[in-house]
Order: sequence, then C-alpha cells, then structure tokens
Amino acid sequence: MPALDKIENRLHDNLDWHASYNTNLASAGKIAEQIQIVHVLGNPSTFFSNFSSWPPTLSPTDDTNARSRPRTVKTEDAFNLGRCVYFYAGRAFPVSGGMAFAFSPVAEANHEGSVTPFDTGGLYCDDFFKPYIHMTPSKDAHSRKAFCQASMIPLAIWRKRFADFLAVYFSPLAGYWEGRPWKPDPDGILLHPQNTWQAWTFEVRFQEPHGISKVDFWCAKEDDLELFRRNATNALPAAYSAEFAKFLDRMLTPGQGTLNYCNLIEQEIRNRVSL
Amino acid sequence: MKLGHPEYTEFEVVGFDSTPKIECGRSLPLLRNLTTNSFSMGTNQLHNPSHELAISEEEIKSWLAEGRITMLPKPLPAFQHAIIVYAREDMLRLGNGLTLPKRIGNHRLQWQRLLEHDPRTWTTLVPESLSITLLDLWGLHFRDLTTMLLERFLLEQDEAFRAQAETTAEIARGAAMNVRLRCEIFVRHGLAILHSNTPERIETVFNIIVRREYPQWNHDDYLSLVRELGELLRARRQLHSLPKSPAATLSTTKPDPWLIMLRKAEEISAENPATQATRSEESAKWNRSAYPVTEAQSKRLTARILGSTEVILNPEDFQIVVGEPACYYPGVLKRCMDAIYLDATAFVNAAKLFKDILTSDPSTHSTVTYSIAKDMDQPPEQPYKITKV
Repeated sequence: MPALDKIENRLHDNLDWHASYNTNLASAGKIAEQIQIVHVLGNPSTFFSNFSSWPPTLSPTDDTNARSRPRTVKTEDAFNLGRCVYFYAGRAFPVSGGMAFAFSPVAEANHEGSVTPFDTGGLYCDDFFKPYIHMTPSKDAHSRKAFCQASMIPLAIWRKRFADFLAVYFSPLAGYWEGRPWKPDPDGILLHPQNTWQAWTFEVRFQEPHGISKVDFWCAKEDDLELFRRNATNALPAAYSAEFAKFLDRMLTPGQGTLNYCNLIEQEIRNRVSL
Repeated sequence: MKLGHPEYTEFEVVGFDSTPKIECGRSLPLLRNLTTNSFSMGTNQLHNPSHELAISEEEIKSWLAEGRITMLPKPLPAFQHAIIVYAREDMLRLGNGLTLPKRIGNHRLQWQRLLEHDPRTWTTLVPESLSITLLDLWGLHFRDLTTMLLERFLLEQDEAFRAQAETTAEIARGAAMNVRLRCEIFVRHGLAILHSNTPERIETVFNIIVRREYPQWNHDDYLSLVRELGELLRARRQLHSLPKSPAATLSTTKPDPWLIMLRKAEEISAENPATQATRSEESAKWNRSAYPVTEAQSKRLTARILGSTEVILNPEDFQIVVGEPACYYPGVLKRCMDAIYLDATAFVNAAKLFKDILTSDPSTHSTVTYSIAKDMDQPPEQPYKITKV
C-alpha cells in the first residue's frame, strides 16, 4: 500500500507528524475495529421492486444488464477487481441513491473481497472517462493500474491498515468525515487541491452477493421510503412479514424518511465510535 | 448567511438528488461550484472537500442516465437551506382543481418543468421551512379530498369512490410532514382499505407504516379508530347526531394523546352545532392538562401572531393552539391551517378570532367559542366530479 510505504521513515523525519500519529493511533485502532461499512442503493425502487420473497440481496455488478455503471465495469476489468458489491468505510454520499445501509464488521465474515484507500472508479481513466482522482506527477492508465494493484488490501486485514491510514493522515481523526488529510502521500493524491473525499475514503468490495437482512441500521430519503412502503404493503406475502418487520426495526429514524439520510447514517457511525 | 451572501454566489443549483419517485416530494439540490466546477449535494457543506465531488461532465451524464440525479433545465441561484420540491402532474390531475401555488406567504414560487427527462414533473427551489409548508399544504388538500370521497362511498357504496380515496390517501401520506396531519391520513387510508376487497391489508399497513410512526398504538387501537371514523363520516354525511356517547368514546384503555385528540376532533366535526361548544371545551381542557401552557406563553404567541405579517406555527405553538376550544371547530381549524400554510394576511385575520380566547379569562371561553363557531361555519361542499384513474 504505497500510502503507508516507508511511513516510519517519513514520520521519523517530522516530529509534529510523529507526535500526532502516536497520539491518534489508539483511537484510530478502536474506530477501525468498529466502523460500519455503508452501501447506498443506486435505485431503491428497482432494487425493491419485487416483494415475492424476502430478504433481497445486494448483487455484484453485472455487465450483461443496464443496472451496472459502465465506468464501474470498465474499472473492474482494468484493475482486475472482479465483479463486486461496493461499500465505503463509514461514509455515504447521496449521489449514490436514496437508501443507505450500514453493516457492522461481522457482516464481512464468509466474504471474499478487497479494499483500497480510495474510490477505484475515480482512479480509472480511458479515452472516454477522465479520472477524478488526480496524482502528482500525473500518471497514465498503465501506471494507475499498477498503483491500484499495489494499493490493494485483503479484506481480512483492511481494518488494521485503515487504523494506520487514519492515524497517519488525519489530525484530528474526524477529518476523515469533515475535512481532508493533513500530510502528503508519496503519490501526491491526498493534498492535491482538485481531489475530494473519493481520493481518501476506503472502498470495500465483496465478490459475492450480500444479504440486506444483515444490515445493522439504515435510513432512506423521504420519497424512496414512501414508495418502498407502498410496494411492500401491496406485494409482501404474509409469510415474510416477521422477517420484514425485523428489517424495519433497524431503521435509524423509525417510520420517517429524511433528506439527509447520508449525513444521518454517517453521524450514527461516528456516534458509535465516539467520534 | 442569506440569499445573495458572497459564499453562495460561487454556486448554482443545477439539479437535485435522485429522481421524482412519487406524486410530490423533496430533494437535496445538486450544486455546481462555478469556479472549480466541482459538485456537492445540499447547501450545508459548501467548500468542504469531504462533501464535494470533483467529477467530469461524463460522470454527470452517467449519473443522469442511471437516475441518480436529475438536472434542472435552467440553473438557479443557490442560497442557504435551499431545497427542491417537485410535483407531478398526476397529483394535480387527481387533486380536483389543485394547482401549483404561485406564492406561500411572502415567498414567490417559480416553477420549472423538467423538460427533457420528465416533462410531467414541475420543480421549485424554496427554503427548507417552506418546503415542509408546501408539502403539508398538499397533504391537507388530499386529506380533505379523501374525506369527501370516503363520505361519498359510505353513502353511495360506489367502489370507484373508495378506490380513489385509497389513492388520494396515499398521495396525502406521501406529502404530509406534520405529525397530526399524518395521523389523520393514516386513519382515512385504513378506512379505504377496510372497505376494499382485500381488507386484510390493513394489518400489513398497520405493521409496516402506522406502528412505525406511532409505536404506542396497537392494532386494535388503529382498527377501532378506523371504524369510528367510518361511523362518524356516515353520520356527518347524513347529518345525524353523535354515533357514540362521549363517555364510551373516552374510555380508551391506552390513553395515547394522539389517539384521544384525533378521536375528539373527528367526533366534534360530526356533531351538531348545539353540542360543539361543550365538546370543544372538553377537548381543549384535556389538551391543556396534557400540555400545560402558561399564560405568558399564550400571550407571547398572541403577540407574535398579531404583530407579524408572516407566522408559521412550530410544534410548541401548536400545543398552545390545541388548548383552545376554537381549534376544534372544523371551519376554524381549516381556515387557520390554511392561513398558517398559505398566506400571512389570512393567518393574521384568522388569528384575530383567537385573540379573545388567547387573552381572555378561561371562564369566558365557551361564550367566545360559540360566537366564533357561528362565524366560522364550514363552507358548503363543492360538488365533486370523480376522475377515473
């Protein structure tokens, strides 16, 4: 992981940075152990269009139908990611859809997958798609692929790397949600003025479908929730009502949709890690 | 930070989060930074790299195609707490003469049609507080429409009225934000379902929707409330007297404030004028005991109402108002609610009728209430033409 390569040497050369790292490491470790991963549904009305069975599962991208974004599929192919279900560590962004689901660390059990300390789609570029993660000096598509491969973290150990990354690059740690990194990385990403949150938010990927019933808590935009409830009341078979009720019980704002569903889910995650 | 503040002049609203999903609703605006060409969602996190998207036009096109965002035909100036409100023409068509309001209070609304992707949807950009007002206004309209349709159904047993009442109740529920209003809509929706060919759905509606917002209700509470409403609407339509004795109605085993308040308001609206004054005083008294309000609070509200050209009641104000008997007259309530949500002048006029009550000795309440009741008889109902969906 290039961002943490030879980090001891870099910390050693900068006393302030080293002190901050030492101060933050324990807290960062606790945050990393507990932090939820978040999936924001791109189009809830499509995902929840069929209530003939419950619960539905989040499926990996599929290049054979229109559900998956062309950029995502191209990124997966270029960076050898395989077809994935995507999450962000502790972050949600409304452009991703209308319902946000947070999963606790136990939900990662029995999954194969990988993690990168950035949004892979933003790193990808070709003749059509420009990258929205900028590097200094600038790198071509081939070099970006090599960089992505070098940054890949196995799913089983990503939380340890995340703790180090937080402690090294965020001071205070809340900067992961509220600001930006405070020190440079070797590839000139983190302090690049044109880069935003996608350049430093951990992207977690599962190779297999993931059951929505494993959700820890969730919330939804007002109209998405209303449509979801209309569809459910008209089509959910009675046999699934108990399971469905459990799902509804995990809503952060019982019975209420909210425009700020992404902020709300991030705030709850931060509350749970006392940040 | 206000409209025109330098911090906002760098931004324009170019679209909004997601796509319109139901008949009307709200969305966070998509802002473009005119200097950096980066995008952000909502107006609360300007210049924050943790909430900005530095993305290309291609990405915007991709999100547009996926329905993750909707673009406005004409960008609008950004301002603090700006929210997009959308309304579909379906809603206007089913709204029995409903039109898009041109203003709320002193705020002029500018509507633009989503030409390219959804030409049957209109949008406007308003301050967040007004977005709630606007949706409650539509919720009120469709609650009243549902009531009218249910009355017609109960009188004529024409399934078309029931089916349309179920639809209008869903529209009302999708719009209304006010907790009391939603409560009334849930009961009307339940009544429409109870008389359908699949009345068992009422249990699902209770479990999935009602219980989530009112966890203190049980299924029997809800069902009995729905049935009582049916009796009351039938009685109102036929100008009958009370369907139940007040004592029987008040003997609820679970004294949930919303349940009791709702029952009382529905009952009183079905009563004849001779008994309304007494019953309104009872309800107001109950609310005064449930939500104690000091004289100073009442006076402050009165002063605010009478001294302002634009007033929107907050939940605390509402608790003061429901402690006043006049609140329970359908005509008064409707006129005040319309005034609250629609027009500051109308609100002040309606509020003047409250003045004597809000400032008078409690012993004179019934007398004042009676005189207001005479002044505020419900307007005659307009003939309703049903539209086949």
